[in-house]
Amino acid sequence: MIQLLVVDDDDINIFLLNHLLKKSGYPVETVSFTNPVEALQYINSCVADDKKIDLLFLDINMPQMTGWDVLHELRIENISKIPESRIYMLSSSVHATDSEKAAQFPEVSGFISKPVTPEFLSEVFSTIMLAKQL
Amino acid sequence: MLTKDYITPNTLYVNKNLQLSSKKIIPFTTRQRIPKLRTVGLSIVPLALTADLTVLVYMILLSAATLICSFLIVRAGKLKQEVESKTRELAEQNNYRQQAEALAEANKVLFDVAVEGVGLGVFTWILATREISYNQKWASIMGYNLSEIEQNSTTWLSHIHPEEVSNVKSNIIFFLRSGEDHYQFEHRVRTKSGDWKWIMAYLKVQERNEAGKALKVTGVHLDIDDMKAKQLELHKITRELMHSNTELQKFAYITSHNLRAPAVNLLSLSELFNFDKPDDELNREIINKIHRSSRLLNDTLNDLIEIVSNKPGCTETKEDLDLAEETDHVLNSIEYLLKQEKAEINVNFDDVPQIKYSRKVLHSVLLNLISNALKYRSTDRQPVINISSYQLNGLNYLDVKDNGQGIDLNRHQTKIFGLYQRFSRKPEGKGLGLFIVKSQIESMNGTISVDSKVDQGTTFTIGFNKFEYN
Repeated sequence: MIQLLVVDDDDINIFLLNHLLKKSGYPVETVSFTNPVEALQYINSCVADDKKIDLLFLDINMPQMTGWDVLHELRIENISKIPESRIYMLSSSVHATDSEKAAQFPEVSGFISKPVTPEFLSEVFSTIMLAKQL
Repeated sequence: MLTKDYITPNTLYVNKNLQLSSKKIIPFTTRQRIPKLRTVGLSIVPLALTADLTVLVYMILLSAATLICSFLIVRAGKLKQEVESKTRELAEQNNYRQQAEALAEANKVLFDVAVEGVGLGVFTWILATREISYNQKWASIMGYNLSEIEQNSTTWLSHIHPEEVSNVKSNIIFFLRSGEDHYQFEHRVRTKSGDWKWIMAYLKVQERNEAGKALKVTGVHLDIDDMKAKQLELHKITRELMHSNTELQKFAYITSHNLRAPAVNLLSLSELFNFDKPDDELNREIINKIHRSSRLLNDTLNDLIEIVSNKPGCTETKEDLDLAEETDHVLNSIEYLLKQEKAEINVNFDDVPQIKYSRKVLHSVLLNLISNALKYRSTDRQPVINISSYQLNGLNYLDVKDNGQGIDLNRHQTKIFGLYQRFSRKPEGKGLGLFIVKSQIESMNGTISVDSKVDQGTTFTIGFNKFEYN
């Protein structure tokens, strides 16, 4: 099973993503948070329990802390402990600034302008499954 | 031979013995020596008539006289040449001096034209005695008559702007010690009427002692007030434009994001709708979310309209406002909310009871800051809001202080006044209020700053008139 963590303050986005995943039929287990602070706590507990997170979808514009802030926290605390995670930044923004910024973080695999599409999921999941087989 | 216009040493000898005069053609310097020679010649003549020995001695003496004469003649020729050369030299020097005097006169005219035309204040500074002799223009740049000012360095230094005086002094000291000949700098001086004026000062070391220490400095002051005012105005405009540009970029980013997010959701939700089974449970959820997204889109559009309509220009009319009265007005409009939150409001406008400001902006600012204080109150204590006005360095300030949740400034300092910035999950916070407050205050040339401690409270300070040049 692929362990997916979704952090997005907009619950409609999480709702839509869950439906898309259900329809796609990928072997995926999803945990989602609308509050990034709680998500960080969850990551900490995963590290403590030695539980893997294969994939992280991280929204950029959130009220308590931005996706960039979350990355920063992960860097100083846990990023080294979840090295096999693939991180994708998500945003409704279509501004180049976000994708440019994403490129500056080596731990970030990509930037997606919402909505998340079946094509994108297919690409990401096939990569992860291939990596798991290897 | 004797009729020749010039004489050689030998012919002169013949002349003497034959008592022939050649005075007319003997040059001036040679003529002076001749009487001496003639005396010698005459005293020898009686001896020659008495004996052969005498003749011999006479001949020897004649030869000696001839030699002396030759020497004197050569010497005289040289002297003549020297005198001629000196005369030429003197004439040339005289000519040069006349030319130099003419040039100096022309330069003085040029200098006077430059000093008067450009308005140069000129002074000479004797460092040892601190004496400075200023010209009339130097004094008049600062609105004085020359007779009104003391001719010493204190006159200049005591008129320099307090913000610049220590810098100017240390720069002058540095310059005098550096061994450099020129130094140029700008500073403000206080004029007789009490205004400040920008001048450009130029210093040049005129004299140094053997050790190279500067003894005398000549200086020029140029009134650059108009130019400086334009330059500062240009800097200010550039800064404002750059600021506006950054703000616009942020605005474009956040509005495009906030408009696009619900629009994208609406599209995705409508695609998910199961038209084959309208009564499906999922469809009900989708409709519910479509409704929420539509409302969010509508709210965002309304926010945008509010921002655009709430951005007053500097043309906003200012009127004399009584702070207590205006604050009461605002508090009355949210009486229900104050009662509901059991808020305690303390006001103190004793120091500055009145300000000249836009009523619309003051209301909006107070309303936003007070409602924010209530919205982000601490759940552990009764909300207390202190509103006070005071003066600092001649400027008026208003503080709105609460004992609420506070903001983590280390994390949010740069974002506090940003558009759609929220630091709490309280549903009513849209992150719009402080953005509007800031843009309104800035459009009135004011400032707003924040001081806050998490779980202790927040103080917003509004500066009513930004310190500006003039």
